[in-house]
Amino acid sequence: MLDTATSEDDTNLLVTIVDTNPLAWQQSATAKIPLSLDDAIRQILIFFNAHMALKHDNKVAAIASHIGHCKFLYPVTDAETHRRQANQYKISKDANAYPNFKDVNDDIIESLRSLMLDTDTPQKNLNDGTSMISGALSMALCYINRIMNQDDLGRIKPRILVLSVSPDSPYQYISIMNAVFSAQKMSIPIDVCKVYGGEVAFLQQASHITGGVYLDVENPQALLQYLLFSFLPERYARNYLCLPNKEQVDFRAACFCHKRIIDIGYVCSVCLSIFCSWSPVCSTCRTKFAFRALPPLAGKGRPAISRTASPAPSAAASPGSSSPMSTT
Amino acid sequence: MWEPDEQLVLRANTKYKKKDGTLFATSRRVAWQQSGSRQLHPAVPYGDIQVQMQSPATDKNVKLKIVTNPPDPKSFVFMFESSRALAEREAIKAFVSESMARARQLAGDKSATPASVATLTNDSPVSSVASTPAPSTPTTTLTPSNGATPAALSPNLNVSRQEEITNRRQLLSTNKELHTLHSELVINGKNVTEEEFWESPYVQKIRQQMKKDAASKEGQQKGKSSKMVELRPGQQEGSDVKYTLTSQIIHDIFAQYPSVKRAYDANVPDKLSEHNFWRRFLASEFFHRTRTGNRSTNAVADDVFDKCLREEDAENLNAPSLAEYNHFKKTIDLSATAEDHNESGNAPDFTMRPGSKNLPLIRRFNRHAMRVLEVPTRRDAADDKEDDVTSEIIISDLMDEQPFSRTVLDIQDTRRYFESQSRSQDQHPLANGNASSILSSFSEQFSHFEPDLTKQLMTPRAAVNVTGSLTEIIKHKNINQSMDPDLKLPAQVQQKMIDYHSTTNEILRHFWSSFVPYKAEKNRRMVDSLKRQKDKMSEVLITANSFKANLDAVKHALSPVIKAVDTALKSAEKRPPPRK
Repeated sequence: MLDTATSEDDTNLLVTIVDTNPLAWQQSATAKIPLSLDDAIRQILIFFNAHMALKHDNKVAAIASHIGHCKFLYPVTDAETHRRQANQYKISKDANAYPNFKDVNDDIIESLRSLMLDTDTPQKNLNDGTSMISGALSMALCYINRIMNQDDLGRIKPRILVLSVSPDSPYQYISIMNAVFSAQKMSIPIDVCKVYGGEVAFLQQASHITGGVYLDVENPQALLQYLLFSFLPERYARNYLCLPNKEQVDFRAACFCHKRIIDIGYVCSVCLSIFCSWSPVCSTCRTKFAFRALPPLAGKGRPAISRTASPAPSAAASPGSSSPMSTT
Repeated sequence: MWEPDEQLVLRANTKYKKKDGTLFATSRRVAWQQSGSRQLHPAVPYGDIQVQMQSPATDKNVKLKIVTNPPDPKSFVFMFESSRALAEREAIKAFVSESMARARQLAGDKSATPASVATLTNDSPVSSVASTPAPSTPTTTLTPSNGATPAALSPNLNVSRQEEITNRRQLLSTNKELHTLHSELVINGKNVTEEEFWESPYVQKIRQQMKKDAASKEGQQKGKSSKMVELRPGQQEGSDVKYTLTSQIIHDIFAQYPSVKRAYDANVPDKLSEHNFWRRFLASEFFHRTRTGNRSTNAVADDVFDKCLREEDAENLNAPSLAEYNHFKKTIDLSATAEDHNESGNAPDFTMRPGSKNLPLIRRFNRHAMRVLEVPTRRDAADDKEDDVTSEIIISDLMDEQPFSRTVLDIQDTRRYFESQSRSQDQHPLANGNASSILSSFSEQFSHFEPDLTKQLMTPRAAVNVTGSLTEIIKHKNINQSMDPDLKLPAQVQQKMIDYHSTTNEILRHFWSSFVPYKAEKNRRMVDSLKRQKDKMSEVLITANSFKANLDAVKHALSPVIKAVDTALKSAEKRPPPRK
């Protein structure tokens, strides 16, 4: 188990996953309260600067979760840095800017440019048009792992912030949850800021499981206000602060068979795979079930093993199980 | 009149107040019925019986008198008429006293009602026709039959059924949860029949668990009692003192005084009868001294027990040889170091030196303690000495922990499991035809992306509004959190809620098990029960209210189960009515 004790002297590493899905941002830019990606990036950059300004050794990293693939926006590889320094004419110089801030801002802007210029990769991996959130989470965890291995003093306290605009992709359910459980094991909180788009069950669960903050943005134009208010405090300060959070968590899961998000499903008693319909053999671990399923009833409310059936976490207050049949 | 689930066990032709009739012993009471009448009078539940009396066996009239409990004691005298009057009376008497004991035991439990006994015997309807009075038409079976004597009736019950009934009764008395469920479902609510109750998978699961627990309890070996043999005069009649020697006491005496055992083996029964041996033992100086610790002045010399006395003295005078300690832990052998390091800690042993006045007594106690600690020979006693030493030195708690043998999750088709991200079948909200045009427009837009961070981002008004709404969220969250301590309900309310919850869940289980495959009669009963259970919710709330508990919290906690009931009732309604 990792040392989870925090102190004032910690170095805070903020790994931000920015959802850069152009399809979702296109919708966001034409929504009732519009927010375009470039406006959002401006606000996010200010937020990064604020984070770095809090402490001299605070660190930041940014990963773009794009359509079908993901990429580090900051920090960039050494080779990339050299290449950029060769073409430095592209970036304007500002005598009034604090160099540390300026470096981060410029790198992120440059990375974004090259990310957007490449239209081929997203075209090839278009699939359902969702962002590669699971890949970005894995990258973030690997990066954090590397940084923490280099840190002998154990002073670096990482956290992950996801700025999400695209909806859940049930196809990524297994990999997202695997990443979330890894984060939980490493005691890395995953904060989620839902900038645009409806509820995202998986990210809600991610922040719930890892003890992070989940926030729905109501007025995207004031994104910076949300970021500064809720996501700026580092892990040490969170011990003393009362941050906004979601009270009810959507605990639904995606079935393994058809990748649908389901309310009630069947869970394999051996490997805990989730299925939307009953089958005599678990397709994951080949366990054969000795019992028969109940035939589907008229109307909804199929009695089944309901591991996933409790959308309201407060139901835990009931003295026992709430399912109509706890065993079959 | 007969009570609905009453069970007739015994009957006999008797006279009561000089009228002919039949005395019945049922599962819950003793009742008498006059011939030709349907009235059961008198009828006394077992719980109300204080005592039963009988006429002497030699008496010509075979009578049984039953006296009820105070404050209103009544007595009823029944005269047994038939040719086998004596046997009938003995059977009824035995059954009544057994039932009385059970009723008392249950009443002692307080939580139990005598009624639960009654229904326990209820589940044997098939075993014997004669023992099943149809509640509505008791007269059909009540015609006085000369063959059906009480003694003939009881063996009719299937032996395995009897066993099952005893088992169930025992389960109910040991498991509180089962007891509550049973009394709620079967006795009070009449929701499910006895058989249905025991067939439920949930109940069977509890039963299996209890069986396991009991088995593990029985597996433990009981050690010897540490009590020393103490012989006290049992009864004093005039100058005579009477001792009672049971075989257990004799066994203990032999264990504690091996010399007595030797004397017994040598003398009984060749030279002395057993009776005489013990008589002399009790009169001997040996016995007197072990009892009082002093030498008796007026004891008569006795060659057998004086020898014992000498043996005993000799034994206590000398230290036991170390060879006696065969189960002797070398790691705690204090004698090995007794004379070492006198200057630094070990004080020389004065207590156990010969000559000490208390030495015999201490030896005696030590010997007794050794016997108590003696473990029955272990199975692995065959191990050689070398291993014994290692096993004593190695402390298992300090060893490395063996890693658990885990079952590896065997995913049969990993490709299928992980390829999930690359497949697309469903239409996604983001997938639209002009994806490529959007991508290129973004590409164009960002090719000259140069954000100006000094430009105003948002109106101050918007920022204030956002701060306000966030503060509101925090406030709401804090109020909810501070509510938590109120959720702790008074113990009675909580118990009531748990009972309500488990009862309702059990009815739901019965409901669904009769829903598919559909058992019309039972399912309809369950629907009724569920409806009643829903009404009972108000009872819980009233209880909660009387304890000033947080009603919303109670409602909230029970809402899932109420929702489940609603779902069940809805499914029941949707089911097409059965064709007739």
